[in-house]
Amino acid sequence: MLFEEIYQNYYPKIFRLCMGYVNDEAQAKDITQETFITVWQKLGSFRNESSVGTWIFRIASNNCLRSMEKSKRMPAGELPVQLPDVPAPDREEKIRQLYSCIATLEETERIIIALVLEGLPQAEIAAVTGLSEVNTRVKVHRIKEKLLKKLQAHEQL
Amino acid sequence: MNNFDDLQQLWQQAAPVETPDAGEVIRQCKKQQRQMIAKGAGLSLLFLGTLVFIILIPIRVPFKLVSTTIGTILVVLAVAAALVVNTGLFAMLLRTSGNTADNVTYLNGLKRYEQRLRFMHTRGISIYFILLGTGMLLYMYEFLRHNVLTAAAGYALAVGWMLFVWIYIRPRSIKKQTAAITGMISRLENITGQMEE
Repeated sequence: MLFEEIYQNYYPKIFRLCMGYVNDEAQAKDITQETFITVWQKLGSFRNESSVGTWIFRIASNNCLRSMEKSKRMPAGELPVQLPDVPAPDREEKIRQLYSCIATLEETERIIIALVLEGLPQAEIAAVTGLSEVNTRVKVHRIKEKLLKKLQAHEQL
Repeated sequence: MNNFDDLQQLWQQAAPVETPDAGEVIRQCKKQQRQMIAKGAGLSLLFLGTLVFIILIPIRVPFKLVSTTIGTILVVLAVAAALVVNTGLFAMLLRTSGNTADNVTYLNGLKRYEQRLRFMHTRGISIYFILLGTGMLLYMYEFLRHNVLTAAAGYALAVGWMLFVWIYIRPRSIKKQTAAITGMISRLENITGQMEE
């Protein structure tokens, strides 16, 4: 698969994962770029042992986890001035809320929920995180509930 | 937003303002590779150069005393150990960065790297100073032994410098490095803890 093709296809997905993790657009862009640098470097050694998507999500989530020193400076729930896309005001506000609530979750929960929201099947989430499928299923269920509760609490404010 | 399907739809609609040019990624990549190699390999090359220099001296000027030879061996050991540790850490860093393994494996690898780094910055640095210092003191004896005054001045200077490094620089360096690394390890442990049931 060509790098350019992978890049165009996965850039928005990886950006959202990073955005969900750090809740800061500039930093999310940096981690996304860092991820594609690795993809470019290692594409030759990629042996189709997993799908290319799993492979890229692994690199991106590892980069997110490694960015923890920087992310510590970012107050959870704070939002970037420049918002992604140019969505309608209502949608913009909802996206803002969603990123904001995800930012208050624990590190691994942020990764898992971003992968769920991206539509990855649980077996693939398990392959990205290294958790067992049973553990993944339990965690996904808990995190979904936790996030929905947070969003509801946020809306009531 | 009470329904998870709505959230998923909303999430997938969010996109970055624009996708940057792929060529820029490749340019950044090449730049990063150059910087990384220069940083890691630079220090290893410096140690290697020092090692070659120390080994070449007795070949050019044969030593008369056994203390000089022992001194040289100790210094060579110190520098060689530093070279091995630094090269090992560099290779480990290369393997760790941009790791394509799953998160659990990656985090464990990162933790091992940080623990090794902590060892190097605490006990490793002390062993290095002891070997280097003892080696240098033994090495100097052959060249300073003819004149009491020069010997006293030379040893006072060398011992003074070593004490300064041991008492002042070493603890500060250890404290600074350990604090950063310990913080990193405890955060890594916290994250790996989240992965457990």
